[in-house]
Amino acid sequence: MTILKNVNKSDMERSMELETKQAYSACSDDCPRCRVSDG
Amino acid sequence: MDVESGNFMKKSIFNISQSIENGVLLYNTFTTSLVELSDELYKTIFVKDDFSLPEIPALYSMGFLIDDTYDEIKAMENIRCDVVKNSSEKIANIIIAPTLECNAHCFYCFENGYRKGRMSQETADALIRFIEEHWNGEKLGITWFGGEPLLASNIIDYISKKLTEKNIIYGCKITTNGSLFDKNIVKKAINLWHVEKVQITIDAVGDEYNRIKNYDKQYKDAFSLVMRNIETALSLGINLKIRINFDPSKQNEALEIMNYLLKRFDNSARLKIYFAPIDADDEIVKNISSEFDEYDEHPYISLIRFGRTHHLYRGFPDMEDDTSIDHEYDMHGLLKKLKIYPSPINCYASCPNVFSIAPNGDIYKCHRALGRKEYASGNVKTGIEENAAYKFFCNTKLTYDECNVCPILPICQGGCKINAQFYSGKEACAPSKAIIKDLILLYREDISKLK
Repeated sequence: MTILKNVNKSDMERSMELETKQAYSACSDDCPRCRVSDG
Repeated sequence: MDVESGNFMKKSIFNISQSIENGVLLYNTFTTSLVELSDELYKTIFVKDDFSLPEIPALYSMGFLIDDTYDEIKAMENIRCDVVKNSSEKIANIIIAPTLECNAHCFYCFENGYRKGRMSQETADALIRFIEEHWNGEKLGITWFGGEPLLASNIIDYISKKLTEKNIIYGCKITTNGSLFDKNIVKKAINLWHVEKVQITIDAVGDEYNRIKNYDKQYKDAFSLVMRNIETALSLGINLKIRINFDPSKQNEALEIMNYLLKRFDNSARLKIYFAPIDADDEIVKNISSEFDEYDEHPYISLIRFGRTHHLYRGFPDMEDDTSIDHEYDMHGLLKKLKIYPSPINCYASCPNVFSIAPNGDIYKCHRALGRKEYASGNVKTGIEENAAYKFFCNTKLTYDECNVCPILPICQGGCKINAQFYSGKEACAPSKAIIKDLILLYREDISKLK
C-alpha cells in the first residue's frame, strides 16, 4: 500500500467542526454545491 | 474498537475506488486521504471484507474503514446542524435585485417568466431600514443581482448614498451582462457603489453570443459592446470575473470563447475566467451531472483540463499565487480548485441570516427564487417570516433519497435545493459528481508535483 495523502479522520472531524463556525453568508463561484455565483 | 484485529469494522460509504496502472486508487471524500493498493490487497480488504491485515489500522485512521456502529450520514447531518446552529442572526451579506427586468433574453434563464419589476424609492427606504435593523455591524457585503441590475442604476445610487449617510460600511459585487457597464457606470461603481468585483457572463463569441443573449432591438452588436466595456472596466481598475456559461453538449463553443478571451485580454491580472455549466431541464440543455458516453471524455473534465493547460486552473491564476486558499488538509487549495474539498453545508441559504431582496421588497432565502412569490419569506416593509418557504431552505435535510448512499455527500452536503424544485433531472447534484474519478486522478497528479 502506498499512502499518497494521509489525513486522520479525527483530525478532519476537528477541522470540519472549526469550519462550521465560519460565516456562510454568501454564494461564490467557488461553491461546488449549487454552481453559483449566478449570472 | 479493536483496530488491530479489525473486528467491528465496515467500509466507509465515502470511499471512491478506481483502477490505475498497477492496482487501485482509493480516495475518501471526507478525510481526503488517498492511497494506492495492489489489486490483490484491495480485493482482500474491500471485496472480501478481510480486516485482519497489517494495513488495517492505517486504513482505519484515514477513514477508509470505520467502526461498524458509526453512522456517516448522521455525522454529516450533525455537521450541517452545527453550521446552522452557529450562524449569526445578523446579516453580514445581502443580495439585492434592484430590478428583475433584463435587456437580454437568454433561453435558459431561471428567471424566465419572472423578469419584471423595478424597485421604488419607497421600497429602497424600507430596505435600508431593514438593513439597519439586521446588520451585524461589520463590513456589509452587497451583491447587486437582477435581472440586469444596471438597468436600475439610479436605485443602486440611491441605496449606496443612503448607506453611506448612515455610516454603514459596505463593499459590493455586481453580477451583470456587461452591456450597460460603460465608462460612466464604471466610474460610479468605483466611487459611489464601492465595487470590489464585477462578474460578466459570456455565452459565445460574436453572432452566436448575440443570438443566445437575444438582447432588446436597440443592441445591434451587443458582443462588441460588451467586449469594449470589459476593456474599459479593466483599464479603470475593475476586478472582473468572466463566467463562461456553457452547454455541456457544445464544449467546443466554450473553448472558443476561452481562446478568444485569452487572446484579447490575456495580459490583464485583473481578469479571471471560469466555466459554469448551464442549469436547465435536460430537453433544453443536457445536465452536467449526466454521463456523456458519446464523448471520449466528459465535457466538464475537458474544460478543466483546458483551463489547467492555460494556467487558468478553474479560472484562477496558477497555484503559486494561491497561497491565500491554503488549508490545513488542502495544500495550495488543490482540492478546492477541483471543487472536491468537503464542505460543512450545502448552501448559504441553509443559514438563517442570509437573504435576497426582490424589487418589491420581498425577502427570499435563495436568489434563484427571486420573483416567485411562493418562495418569499416576508417583505422588508413587514419583516422576515419564518414560513414554509423559509423552512424549506433553512434546514439540513438532504435533497434526494439517493444522497443517503452517495459517496460525494461530504462535498455537496445534499446539493442545491432550489434546482431540485426547478428542474426535473438531478440538477441538485454537484457538477463534480459525474467526473469525480477524473478529478481524483488530477488531484493525484497535482500532489505528485508537490513532492
